[in-house]
Order: sequence, then structure tokens, then C-alpha cells
Amino acid sequence: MKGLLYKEAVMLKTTMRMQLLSLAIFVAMGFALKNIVYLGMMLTVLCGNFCLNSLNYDVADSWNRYASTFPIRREQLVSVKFVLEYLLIAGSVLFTLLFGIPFSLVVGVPYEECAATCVACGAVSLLAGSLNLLLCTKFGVEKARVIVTLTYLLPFGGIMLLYYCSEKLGIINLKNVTEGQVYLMVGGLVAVIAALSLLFWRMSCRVLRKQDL
Amino acid sequence: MENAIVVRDVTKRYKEFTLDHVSFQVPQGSIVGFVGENGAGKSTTIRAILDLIRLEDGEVEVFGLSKKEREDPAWKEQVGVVFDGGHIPQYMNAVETGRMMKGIYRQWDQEAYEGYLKRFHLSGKKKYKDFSRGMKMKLSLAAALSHHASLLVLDECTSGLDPIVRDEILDIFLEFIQEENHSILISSHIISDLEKVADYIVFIHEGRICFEEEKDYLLENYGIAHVAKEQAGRLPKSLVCGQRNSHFGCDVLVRDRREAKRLEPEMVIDPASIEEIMLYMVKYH
Repeated sequence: MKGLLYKEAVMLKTTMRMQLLSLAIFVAMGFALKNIVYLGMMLTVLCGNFCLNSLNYDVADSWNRYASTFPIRREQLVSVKFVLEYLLIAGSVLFTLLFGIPFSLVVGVPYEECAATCVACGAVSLLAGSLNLLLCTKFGVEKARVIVTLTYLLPFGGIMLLYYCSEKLGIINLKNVTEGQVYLMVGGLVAVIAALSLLFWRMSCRVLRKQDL
Repeated sequence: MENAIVVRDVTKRYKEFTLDHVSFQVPQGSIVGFVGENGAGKSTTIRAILDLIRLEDGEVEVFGLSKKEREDPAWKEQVGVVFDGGHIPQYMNAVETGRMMKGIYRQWDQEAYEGYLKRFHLSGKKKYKDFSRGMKMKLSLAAALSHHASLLVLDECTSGLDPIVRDEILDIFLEFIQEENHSILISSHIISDLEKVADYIVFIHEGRICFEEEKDYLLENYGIAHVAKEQAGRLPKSLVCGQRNSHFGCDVLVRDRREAKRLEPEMVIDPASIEEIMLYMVKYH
């Protein structure tokens, strides 16, 4: 696993300049738009894109075939992508949490609200990223590309749908939602998504184990 | 003699191709040349040996280990693999490749790896994508040789290389095989390379093994008889492997050139090269 993680680190180093440039643009846009959700969402896309790029390189190099001749289990090949995804998302959440401090001071939004938003964005990123890894393992990056685009839109669409349904059905009055309810929802969301992500990881391992390489 | 690899009745069906009950073995301490035309099933067989594909039928034993015993991937510490094209990540250089391999193989020998880089004149900083094809194959070979493997599995590793690089690589194989427990399975359609180094030749055609013989036996016994058509007809069918007709007569590949000479003393029979044996069996059978 150490060698596989090193390979991903080299890939990260190779694209570091572009990633940092993108990050700087997103931070500037976040401030300009006075919107931390924008930054959180864009970092989500950035993390997901990095993992897909890494998979794309692997496909181009027939890496899985070669790496399956190493003394490692096939599951490790897909597990390393999940570990990478988790690390990148954890880094993004940490970054947006830190960014939230100056942001809340400049824009005048309570820090707790910024923090909750950052964690929620990270959770959505985890869901989309894990699902994408499963789809790409199953169908290959090229075939999965269209579905992958949808997976980024679906979580956000789902949240919007939930919001409108709640408003219409009156289950939760989001305008008068208490702080405790917000934390409960964010916490619940993170827990459910973490469980789903683990499920997608297990499914990806199973898919790769059965694949002809 | 113990076998490093035993392939028994291996069958794999694809839409347009079937690997059909393939059986052969790689004796320990030998180089086995696996020959056949493009698409004959060489790479599929190698993938079967390395557990990269699921088989419909048959079994493979590597170092005497069954499929179940090979579930623990530790046995792959003993195997060095080079595929056609290499497959090392394009964005890595030789130094980074070494560091990656060090994190994968417990027996990784950094000193040996650096020795191969020096011997092959490979730049440590140049990215894999910027290497020539020959350089790529050399780097893959350096990686395959630097973890004290006792079995090398090489799939078309000399194709597309110039004769000088090929010769260098063949020398490495001959050095590797000096250790008595070392074995090599090398697939290629460059038969001249295999004639130089192989102890055994396994010939596959359209997914089936045509023969598995000692190289010296093939070179000593097979022959090409240059005869008139009516003379060719007199040769027993069990002796004839293939026949090429021309305006002036025909050339017949015979299994036992001494026996053919005994039966038809006036025949001119030349020794057959492995390339000619393969050609006659595929094209003029």
C-alpha cells in the first residue's frame, strides 16, 4: 500500500501547480461572491477531478494489469483511490474550515454557519467521489464519464428537492429550524454518507476482484 | 525436474477467440520461448498464469502452488513481469519508480536497481513518457530484476526494439538463468531471439498448442525437403507438417529429416529454423 500511495503522491505533485492555481481562483471567487458554499463546492469538484484523473492515467497505462502482478491484493488497488479521496476531502474540509475564519470576519456570517456548510460540502463530496470511484471501477472512466457528471449534480439536486418538499409538505420548517436541528442534520448526513462510502468501497473491491485485467 | 509453471487444460472463451485447453510447462532452470502469431493467445495465456483473468476450465500451478494457495499474493514476490509497452505510470521517472517499488516489494534491492539503471544508461530524472520504447522496456526489466525474483514472465518484451538493445536484453536473460532455480517464460514473435536463448519452444496457434519441444530437438530433427510434387506425395503423412507449392515443385516441412532422407534418399533436405517450422505449420498446413 505504501508504494501505491507514493505513486498517487507523485501524481499529486505532478499536477500540484494547476491544483494550487485553481484553489487560488476559487478562494478569490469565494470572497468576491461572499459565498463559502461556492468554495466548498468547487473544492469538491477539484478533489473528485483529481481522483478521476488518476484513474484515467491508470487506464491509459494499463496500470491495474501491471500492478496485479505485484505482491498486493487487487482490493488494494481500489482501496488506495478511496484513501486518496478521503485524504483530499479531509484536506479540503480543513482548508474551508480555516478559510471560514477570515471569511466570517470579512463577510459577517457566523463562523458556526460557515463550518456547518464546509462539513456538509465535504460530506456531499465524499458521497459523489465514492460513487464515482465505484462507477469508474465498474464501467471504466470513459464509459462512466456521463454518469459521473450526474453524480455531482444528484446530491445537490437531492438537497434542493428535499428543501422544496419539506417546505410544501411542512415536515420541517427550514426558515425556523433551530441550531440543534442543523447540527443534527449535518451530523446525520455525515454518518449516512460515511456508511454509504464504505459500502461503495466494498462494492468497488468486489468489482475489481472479479474483473479480467 | 521441478516445474516453475504448469499450465493444464486452460480454457478461456471470448466472443471472437477461445484459448482452447492449453497445456504446457516451464521447467525450473530453463528458458521457455512461447511463440505464435499475433492474436494466437500468448498474452491471454500469460494473463492466465498471472491470475489476471478468470478461467472457464483448467488450472495453473506456479511454484507448485494451486489457485487457492495463490490467493495470498506473497508468491508474486518471486515473479518479475514485463509486459509489452511496460505499463509504468507515464508521469514517473526512474528514481520515483524505484521508490514506489521499494514500498511494494519486501525484497526490493535498491542497489541492484541503481546498478541496472547505470548499466542500461537510464536517466533517473527523465519521465517514463519521454523514454524511447527501448528505454521503457529496459526500465521495466530493471524493475522486474531488482526484487530477487526467481521467475521472469515476459510478454513481447523485445518487440519493436532494435537488434542491439534486443541483444543486450537477451544477455541479461542468460545471466539471470545462471542461477539453477531461475526460470523464464518469454513470449515473442521474434523467433530469432528465442533461437538464441530458449531451451524449450511452445508454439501456440489460434488458441491451441501445436507443440511443446526442446529447441535443440526441433533444430536437429525438423527439415525442409525441396522436392517435386509427386515425390512429396510419397512421404508418409505422419512425417509431413506443412507443404508449400510453387511452379517448380514444393517445399515440405518434415518432422524427422533423417527418416525422410532414409525413405527418399535422393531428396534434398535442409535443416528447418524455428521460424520456418512456425510458418509452415500456420500458413502451409
